[in-house]
This record gives sequence, C-alpha cells and structure tokens, in this order.
Amino acid sequence: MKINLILQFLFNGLATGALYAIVALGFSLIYNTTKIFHIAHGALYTIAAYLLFSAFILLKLPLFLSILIALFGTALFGIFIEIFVYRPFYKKNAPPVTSFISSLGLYIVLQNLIALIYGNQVQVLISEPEKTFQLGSIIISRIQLLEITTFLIISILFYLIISFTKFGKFLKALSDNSLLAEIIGIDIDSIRLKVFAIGSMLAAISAILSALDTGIEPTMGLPIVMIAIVSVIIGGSSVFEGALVGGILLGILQALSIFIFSAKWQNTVVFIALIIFLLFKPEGILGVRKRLEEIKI
Amino acid sequence: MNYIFHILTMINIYLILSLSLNVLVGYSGLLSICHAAFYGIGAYISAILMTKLGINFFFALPIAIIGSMVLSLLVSIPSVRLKGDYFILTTFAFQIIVFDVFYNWVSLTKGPYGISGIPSPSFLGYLITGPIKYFFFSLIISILCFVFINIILEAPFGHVLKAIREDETLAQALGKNVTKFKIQAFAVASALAAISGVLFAHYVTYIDPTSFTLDESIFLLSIVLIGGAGNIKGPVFGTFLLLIIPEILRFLGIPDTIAPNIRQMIYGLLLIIFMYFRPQGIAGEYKFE
Amino acid sequence: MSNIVLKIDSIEKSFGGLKAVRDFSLFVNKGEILGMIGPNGSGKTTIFNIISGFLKPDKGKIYLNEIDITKLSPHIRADLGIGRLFQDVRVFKKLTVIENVLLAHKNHNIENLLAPFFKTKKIKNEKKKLTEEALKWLEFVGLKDKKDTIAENLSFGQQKLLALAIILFSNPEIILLDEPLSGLDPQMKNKVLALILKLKELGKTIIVIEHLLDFVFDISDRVILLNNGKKVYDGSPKGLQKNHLLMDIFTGNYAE
Repeated sequence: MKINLILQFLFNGLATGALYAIVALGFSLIYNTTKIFHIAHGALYTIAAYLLFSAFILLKLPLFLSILIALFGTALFGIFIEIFVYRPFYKKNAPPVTSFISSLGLYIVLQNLIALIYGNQVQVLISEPEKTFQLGSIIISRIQLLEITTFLIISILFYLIISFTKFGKFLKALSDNSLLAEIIGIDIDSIRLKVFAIGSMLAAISAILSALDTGIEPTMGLPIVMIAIVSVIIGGSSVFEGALVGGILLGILQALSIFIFSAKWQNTVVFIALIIFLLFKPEGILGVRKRLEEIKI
Repeated sequence: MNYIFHILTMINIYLILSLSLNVLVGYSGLLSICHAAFYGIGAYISAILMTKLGINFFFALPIAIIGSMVLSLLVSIPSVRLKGDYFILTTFAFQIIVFDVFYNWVSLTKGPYGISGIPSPSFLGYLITGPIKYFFFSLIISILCFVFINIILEAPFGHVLKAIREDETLAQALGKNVTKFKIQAFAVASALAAISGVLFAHYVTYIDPTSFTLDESIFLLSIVLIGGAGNIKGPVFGTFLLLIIPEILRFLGIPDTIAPNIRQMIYGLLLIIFMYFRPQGIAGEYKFE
Repeated sequence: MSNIVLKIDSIEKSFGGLKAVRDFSLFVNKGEILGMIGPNGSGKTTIFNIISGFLKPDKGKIYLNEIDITKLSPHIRADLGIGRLFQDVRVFKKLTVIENVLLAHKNHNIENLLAPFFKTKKIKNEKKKLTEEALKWLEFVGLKDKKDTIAENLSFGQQKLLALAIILFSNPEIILLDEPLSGLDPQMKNKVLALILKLKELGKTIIVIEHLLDFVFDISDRVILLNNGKKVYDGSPKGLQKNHLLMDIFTGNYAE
C-alpha cells in the first residue's frame, strides 16, 4: 500500500532529521553566541566518527568506552580550535569574513588529514545486520529509535538549560548583543570555550549515531554541515531552537524528495528550499522578522 | 617539455578563472563560492554542442558564454540584495544544484560517465591540439580576457564596483543602481569562467562533473584570496603559486596517492595563515573591512 | 510653477511596536533653509532615511518637485536630486579625495559595462569635464590640495568637508544635512558653518538636523521641532525662541 510506503519514508526522514537537528543545534549554538560561521563544525563531526572508529575497531575497546572517548575527544578538539584558531581572530577584531574563510581552510586541512591517516575508503563499524522491529506497517531499526530518543532528550535538556540556568541566560544575552554582554561583565572567553565544547559534543553525538548506523568516510562532514546550516536558516537562525525544528523538517523533506524524485536530487531539493526561504522568509520558521534593513540592502 | 607546456596551458585557463572571480570578490566585494559552476556550465555547453550537434568551436564558444551569462541571472537576481552571509549561502546553493544537474541529468550530460571525444578546435583547417599548440592558443585567449577585464575595471564601471565594495549605502545615495551593477559583475564573471570551461573541455577532450565541484569553487576562491583580491596582480600571483605547488610536491617525490591530500592541506593552511596575517593576500589590496 | 521642492504628506513609520514617526507632514520651499530639531529619538534621522529612500514609510507620500517618489529606490531619488550628508560621515575610505567626488556624477551612460569599448572618446571628454567640476567644488570646501589623498587618511573634519563636496558636486535639488557640525573642533566648526552660509547665499535648498540650537536659529529661515515622532512646531525661529515649548520638551515637561 502506497500509504505505508510514505509512512516508512516519513519515519526514516524523522530519524535522519533527528541527527540533522542535533548537529544543527551545535552549529547554531556556536554561530549565535560567537557569530562565527563555523564550517569546520563538519570536520569535528568527522573527527568524532573516526575517534569512535579508532577506539572501537582499531583499539578494540568496549563500545561504551569508545563512545565516551569520541565524545570528549571531540569536545577537546573543539576547544583547541577555539583557542588556537578563532580566538586570535577575535582578539584582533578581525572582520567576520576572515574567520569564515579560516574555518573553511581549517575544514579542508582536517578533512585531508583524516584521509591521509585513515585512507579515503568507507569504513563500517558494525557489520552485523541491524535489529529491527515492526510498528504497524513501519519497520523501525534499533538505531533509528536511538536517534529519535537522543534527539528528544537533547531537546528537553537544552530547553531546561536555556530557560532555567544562568549559563542559558548568558547564552541568550550573547546571542542578542555580544557587545552589551561584554560590557556588563559576562566572561565571554570562558563561555566561548564551553560553547565550542558543547557544540562539538553535539556534532559528536550525531556522528557517533551515524557512524554506527551507516559507516564513516573522510568526506562525511561537509554534506552534514551544509545541511546543518540550511536547518538553522530554515528553522530560524536567531533562536537556538530553530536548528532543532529545521533539522527535523529537512530530514522529512529529504525523505519525501527521495520518495517523489529518487535519491539523486535530494541535495537540490534541500538547497532550493534554502533559496526559497532566503528570498521570502529569511528569518526562518521560528525567527523574528528583523527590520528588512538588517537583512537586505 | 610537453609537460611544461601542459602546466602553462592550465595556468592560462586558471588565470581567466581567477581574474574573473576577482571581479566579484575583489572589486564588488561579493564572496562567491559557485565560480566552478560557471566553469562547468561553459565546458558542458560547448562539449554538448560540439559532440551532439557538431557545431563549430567558434560558434560553440559564444553560445557557451551567453548561456553562462543567462544562467548567472538565476543566482545573481535572488542573491545580490542579500547581506554577506546569506549571499554566500545562495552561491553555495547554486553550486550544489548545478553539480547535481551535471551529475543527474544523464540524458543531457551523461552524468558521472562524462562526455568524451570532445573535438579540438580547428581554425581554417588548422587543428589546435596538443600541449604546445594549445598553450599558444590559450595564451592568446587569456591575454584577450586579461585586457578585457583590465579595460572594464579601469573604466567608470570598475570605479563604481569599487565604490560598492567600500560602501553600498553611500553608492546608492550617489545615484548608483547597486543591484544592476552587481548583476552585471556576476554576468561578466560567469561569461569569462565559461571561456575557461570551453578552453578546458577542448583541451582535455573529456569532462565529467568531478572537475566542477564545490571543492573546485573553494580552490578558485583560495587563489584569489591568497594571491590577493582587488587588483590585477593578485590573482596572477595566486594562480601561479597555487598551480605550481602540486608540481613542487611531485618534484619532491611525494607519491600520487597522498599528493592530493597534502596539496589540499597546504591550500587550507595558506588560507588560514593569510586570513590572519595578511588578509589582502600576497599582492592584493582589498582586506574585507 | 510651484515653488515647493519637497512635499511630505502624512507619513508614518513604526518599528515593531515603536511608532518612530507619526502623521508627519512638511513643505520645503526652494532656496529655504529648514532647521529640524528635537531630542534624541524624536525621529529626525528616520525622516531623513524616509526622504532619501532607505526606509519606506508605512503610510503617506513624498513628492520631490511634484514627482511622487514614495516608492522609488534610493538611487533613483539621488538622481532626481536628493543629496544626503550622513550622520556618521560616509566617504569611500580607500579611494582618493578626487575619486570620491567624481563618483557623484550622474552620467550613468559612461558607467555601462561595455561603454569603454563603444564610447571611448565620450568617456575621455566626460572625465575631463567632470574632473574640472570636481576640482571646483574641492576648492570650495578647501580640499583641492588634498585631491590625491586617500580618504581614510583625512581628519574627521576633512572627511566631513569631503562629504559636503561630494554632495555639492552632484548638484542636488535639496540637501539633507544630518548633524553637519557634530564631532568637530571649533576651528572646523567655523569652517563648515561658513560653507553652509555660502550655500545659503547660492540659493540652495537645505534641511539641516542639528543639536546646536544657536546655529540652527541663526541660519534657518524656518524651524520645525519634533518630539516622539510628531511635529509640534513649524514656523519662524524667533517664534520658537519666544515659545516655552522648546524648554518644556527638553526638560521633559511636555505632555501631548
């Protein structure tokens, strides 16, 4: 029955969307608080996947430990990048474009470094077939369930942190007006470190789930960060939660486009959606309409 | 010996690409990450016209140029009114979509199989083929392009572009139709990129989508940024430097399996270093305020 | 033939919930100097932005020499004759002084992409003519000897003079001066003041926003006072000086 097929695709889209949402949240966190267009986020995603691979497959460590290594190792990398690459630009008040381009350069360096060390081929982490069960007429895999659950947990945690903790309030302040935040004495340097750690960890979570699901290769980061960016914009770039909404929507949109057009046009569909939003609703779904004068010239 | 002419030919082709991207990045202040898309559009239009329809090179070339200019409207019209980040994203989107078209519209472009058997250009019965002849041919064309770009940038048109780069609002307040100028700058850049594409296609006689990817667009941007944007010298320096690097690697005996990765890493590092220490590049004058 | 250069008809502008300009109307006659004063946030610069086209009003119309410009883009309004001095002095920082002025020319034909190929001679002649005219205005503001200096190397005051030269070169129908004297040392202030007086002699039509009330009262033929986006006085400077309105507004005692 066609409707069952559509439901299956929609569910798959939801699971993929969950992954997108998590990475996108990491990107949005970093972008909104530091205003850095952190393309290298994609490299951290890849690094997480390869850390997992190195620990679990190469060093044959237990899965749980490997996941921890991947999570905290990536967070550490994120902190390094902030300290050694972005902070120098921040300290010399460099125009934002130069940070963006360095981020691009950094991504290129990291992706190729990984390719050099591990080779260009796709690696698989789990070779036994995935356990699945059936819900109605939809087939659900264990890992898809894990993906969706993780997304829900992260969303709730994030909501709690942003709304009720002092840290969350600082984040909102920075995202609204970083100059003012600095003036009232918020320790921006320390928040930046935390934001990069958390953001990178979010990328890692998504990467770990994806690595266990479909495997890894050195170029896996770029398409993911592209989708993260589109998610943030479509969902609403001015609020952190926009990334979550955007990610889920894009996952579903991609699944629908695979269903209607076939997998080869999925990128095109995503980017046409981006262009439509940039033209007609640049503030995104959750975003507040800024004065036109701030977006268009 | 042939090999040196080959490198010089590629330098000619990339010179046109970098000089034309400079019109956008260095003169108009538009950071475009879709230049390789126009490079590819030129290559594919010409290749398809000549292999499927048997059209002569000297007719295919202008059609490729015009086709590229018309297609540039698809990206320039939506994007030029958007601010900084959003503009770059739109060009990003265009690059991805165009690549998808190259890869997936198999009936037109033969997709991942590529188009082979692209004929060499012939002029009055004289066949331009092989690195040496093609070097001189591409040299003539690149000099013509160089002169063309120089003329328009030294003319009032170029001055307005620089004004737009410095302060769009003021340029508008002085009567300049900023949108129109940006669209024109895009059209010129895409037209010239198409010329490079045509030269490339008829030189290597086989093209496939892998030559026109996002990576390539980023590479072209690197040439302009590292060499320097905003004047004529910068892109020239950048082209020579970034095209010589792989040859140096080869000379040092770095194996072909890892050479591409090392090459990319060098480009990436150079980008970071230049953006921090010398954002105007080696010889450029625009620093992105 | 009407003597009214600029007519503003009941314009309104809100930002989110904030009403920045409320039911604002105005006539400006040819050769008139109109002073626009009011506390910070009363809507003065917003009105300038609306006149020059960088903001579109929510309601109302604007006419320049009887042409409805309400929906026109800023660059078309500039061509029709609106000249604007920005509050944050805007010049093309990396270009030279003379290049800055020359950019204000209105001969858009020569700016065409292919013009250098088809109109070479014309471009040459135009450049010559325009350069003479540009030098004339640079001399007027006293920057002629600095014509090849890069704009960012000028002092703040000199940049203001440059901005003035740019506007004058474009031969506007009406000049909008946004706080021309702000940020200047006394010597520069006098220089700019003298220039504005000369402009008055030349019969230019000007709207000037300023906080220095002495200057405004001295130089203006007519004064308008804004408060909270509304025009509360439109008349002679002397009339306002006698009126306690001004004192009330600036001491916060004014209630609508």
